[in-house]
Amino acid sequence: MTAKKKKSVRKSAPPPEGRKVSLTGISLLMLVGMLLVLGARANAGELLHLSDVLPYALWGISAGLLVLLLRWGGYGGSPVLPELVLLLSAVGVLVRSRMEGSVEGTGGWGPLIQPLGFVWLWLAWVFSRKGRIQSFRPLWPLAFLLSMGIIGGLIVLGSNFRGAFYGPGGLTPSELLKLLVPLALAGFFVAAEKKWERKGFWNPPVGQSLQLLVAWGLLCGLLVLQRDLGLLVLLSLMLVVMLISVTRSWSWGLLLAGAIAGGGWLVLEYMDHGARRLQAWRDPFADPTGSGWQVLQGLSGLYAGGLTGTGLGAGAPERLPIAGSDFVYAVYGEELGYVGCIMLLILFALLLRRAAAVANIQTETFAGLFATGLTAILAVQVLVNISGVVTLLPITGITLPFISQGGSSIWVTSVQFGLLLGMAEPGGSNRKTKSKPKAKTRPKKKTASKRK
Amino acid sequence: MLPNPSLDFLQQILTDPAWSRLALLLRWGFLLGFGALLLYFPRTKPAGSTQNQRRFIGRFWGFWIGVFLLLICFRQAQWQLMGRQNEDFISFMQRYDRREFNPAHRVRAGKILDRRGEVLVYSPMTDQVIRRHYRFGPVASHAIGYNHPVYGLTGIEAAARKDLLGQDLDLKEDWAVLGAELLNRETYAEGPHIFTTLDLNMQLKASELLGDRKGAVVVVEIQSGAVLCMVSHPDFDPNRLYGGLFSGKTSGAPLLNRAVAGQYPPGSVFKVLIAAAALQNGFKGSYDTPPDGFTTSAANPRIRDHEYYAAKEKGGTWKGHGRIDLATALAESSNVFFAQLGVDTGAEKLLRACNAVGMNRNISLWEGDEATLTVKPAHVPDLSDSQPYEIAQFSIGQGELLVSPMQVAMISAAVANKGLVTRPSLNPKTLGIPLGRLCGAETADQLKWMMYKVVQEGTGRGMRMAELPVAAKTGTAQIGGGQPSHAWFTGFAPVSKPRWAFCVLVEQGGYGSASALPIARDLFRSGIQEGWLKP
Repeated sequence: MTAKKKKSVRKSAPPPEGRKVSLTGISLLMLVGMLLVLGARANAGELLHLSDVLPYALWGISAGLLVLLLRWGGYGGSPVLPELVLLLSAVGVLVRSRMEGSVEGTGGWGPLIQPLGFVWLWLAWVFSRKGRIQSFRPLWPLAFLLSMGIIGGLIVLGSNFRGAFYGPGGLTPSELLKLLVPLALAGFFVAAEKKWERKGFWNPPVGQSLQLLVAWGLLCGLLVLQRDLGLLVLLSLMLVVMLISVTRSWSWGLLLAGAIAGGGWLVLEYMDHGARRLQAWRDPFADPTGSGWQVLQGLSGLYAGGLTGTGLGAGAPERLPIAGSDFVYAVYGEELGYVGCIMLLILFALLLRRAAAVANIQTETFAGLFATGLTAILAVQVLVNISGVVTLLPITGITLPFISQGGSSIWVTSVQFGLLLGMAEPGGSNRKTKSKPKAKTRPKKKTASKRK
Repeated sequence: MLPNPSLDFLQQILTDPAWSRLALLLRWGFLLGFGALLLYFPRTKPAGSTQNQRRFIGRFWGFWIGVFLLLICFRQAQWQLMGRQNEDFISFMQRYDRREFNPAHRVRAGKILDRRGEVLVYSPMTDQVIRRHYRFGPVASHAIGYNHPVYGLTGIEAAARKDLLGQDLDLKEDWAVLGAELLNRETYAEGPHIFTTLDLNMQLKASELLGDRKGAVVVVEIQSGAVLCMVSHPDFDPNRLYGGLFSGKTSGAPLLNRAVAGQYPPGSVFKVLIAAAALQNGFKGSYDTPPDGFTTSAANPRIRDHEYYAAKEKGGTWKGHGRIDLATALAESSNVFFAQLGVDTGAEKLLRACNAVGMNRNISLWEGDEATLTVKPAHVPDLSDSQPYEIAQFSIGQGELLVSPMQVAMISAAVANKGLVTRPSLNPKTLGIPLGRLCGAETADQLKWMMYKVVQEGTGRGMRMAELPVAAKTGTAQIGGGQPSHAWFTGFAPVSKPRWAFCVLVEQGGYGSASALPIARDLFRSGIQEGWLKP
């Protein structure tokens, strides 16, 4: 056991010189991106102010601080994961900053969203590392009740708040479900781990399954009432992933097929705007100025971008309805082209691979399942959002993590990354075994940072 | 509020002319740097990805996510890289996309060709502006229509708009073109060309023969329904559109396509349809044709033959045709005969014949998604057997009945085509579509030889040509008010193996045999002499 861990420690701690390359690269990329965006704005006749440089400067300061905090705190996990997160956040800041002014305002929060996200990320890391993640385990019933409470509260108070929900700087409380529900599920499964072990779709543990069914029915019912189709799809897909993880039986995938068929039918029968989205997906040209308008404008942007794009800042996101959230990928694709899109997809793929690895190194089932849930949420968000833009799937109203506008979405994603970072440290989820390798890595890191 | 000074030095650098060149470099630098960073990351394999460590997220997940990402790449490429193939997409962007740099706005519509591949319309670029150029100006302007930034789209230009924008990727060269367009976004790409059924030679000749007279010439290929010639005068030059054309104040309504949207009383050419209906009804007998004509009741004016009026004008009298059969009546174009024949055949049978040739509905010459070029329905009065005088007038092509030259040509084509009615079409992709049946094959054969007799012995003698045996029918439609009659001439050729059906209309041209017939004769004669018509 220990030998294996030593190996992984060695692998995940390459020489600090190598790490410097990637951090410098990310900073350079940000600098070049900033000059391109500002150049495009200046050449469009805009007068540049100090506030225009603020988002990039704040990102630089906070990202640098985060790197230092991680180092001082003795982050012992894979160094690639935080770097990928930084790179993704840089891309996000670039894409969002170029939309300020031209697209619906960010409510003054704009430049602060990502730096604050880094604060949440750091806090989540601190609270989840060194096996502290295990202390969240008994909270799972609370997490479930809180999820229900949030959605219920939104339904009751929603009409008054509605406008504020979608304000990019405002809070969208339902985003919190992306943290609470995986926590609740992980706790629920671990509470009866033995009962779920090796149980397929055909011979489920009856009592447990019924409990799950009732709970999920309640949650889905509330989400349907709140008309948050995207979150419903997101959480349900995550449930299937976690079921497969906990039982190690792929037969639960059948649930997915059933859910897709049943959900599709429900949407067509009972939800007006859902049916319109399906229509816009299957044949956007049937009603090009109505239901197909948004999708087609997004695709027009992509086509205008072509292979290499118009260049950062040179696109026209103001032509695109809700460019900032659901269709941010179209704006990105317009400015960075197909090549840039492939790179973003690779970036997401690498990130997901690292996140999956974090789940796999967990020794405690709870932490492993929690990490699995977080990874699944990330994956579904990425795949479903982008698929919607390129018409592989219908539009569901799911945001693209770290790229889409919206403080709540970015902050929740930050916390997710923070938790993953905390769990990424070797033995992170086990208090007993953690002490030895941690003691070894910590002084190493410290000396490494002192040398510079 | 916090101080927010302007950044003058940055502004200066970024608006410097040199910056734009540097920016291009930086754009590439950004993409390359991004790629290089991504290549750098996978060098370290993540812990927890070895075989025995996959406890929670198995290898299959990675596989499926990879498949999904590939699907995204393919789907995105369909739009972003190969969007030019999708004419719906290009059409949408040209209409609704306001991004000036979108290359879709520089996709020029393809060429429109005649049936031999002669270019009728293309899109040259002069001074960085693409415009549509109509090579033969007013010739075929009604069929082709126009594509004008201000006045919009009509005709084939409107109906085939999307087909002219897309991109075929059937050939290897097309893929090369697509690649070049992707790399060089400024390329002024051209959509695929489309063929029409029009015969430029015939169109030019018919246009020349009609000259300054108002009217229309239609020639249709009998088996396929291909419209070889569709001339309507006065016409307009689609290269030089002006507001006055559209205000309705221009004399002669040049925008009206008389060939398919004109509404004229058909006069005697309609007798072909009456004869078909009667023969199909089993008519074999004869009628007496007294010189003082025929009427259904004393209250109605008598229907007489034109010989009666001709003789009266000269101060003499005419003793009538006597008792004649259908063949003679058609050859002599006897109104008295056909008025009786129509009344005896009955309203139902006559209307059924009208519907069989599609006179009651829009017939599309070119079907498009956004617009369709159609033959306007004829104005057919609501006949009933209780009002026989209306039927009598209808039977000689007068009264409230109004038809277009295309519909008359379709009647002739049906007679020549064993009674089968084929949809006329300008689009070579929609040829030979059956519309209905006017009469049985035997009836059609009988009628064919009767129409041949019209040319050999009757009113159409002027059409007798050694090189091309024609079967035809003349028409002289009175329009009242003391104005000259509309001159009609319709038929088909060659008689033994019919290939072309035609109809010529000259507005207020007097006798059909005098003004309409020579146009048809000269058209076919010069076609054979010049070699573009081969019987």
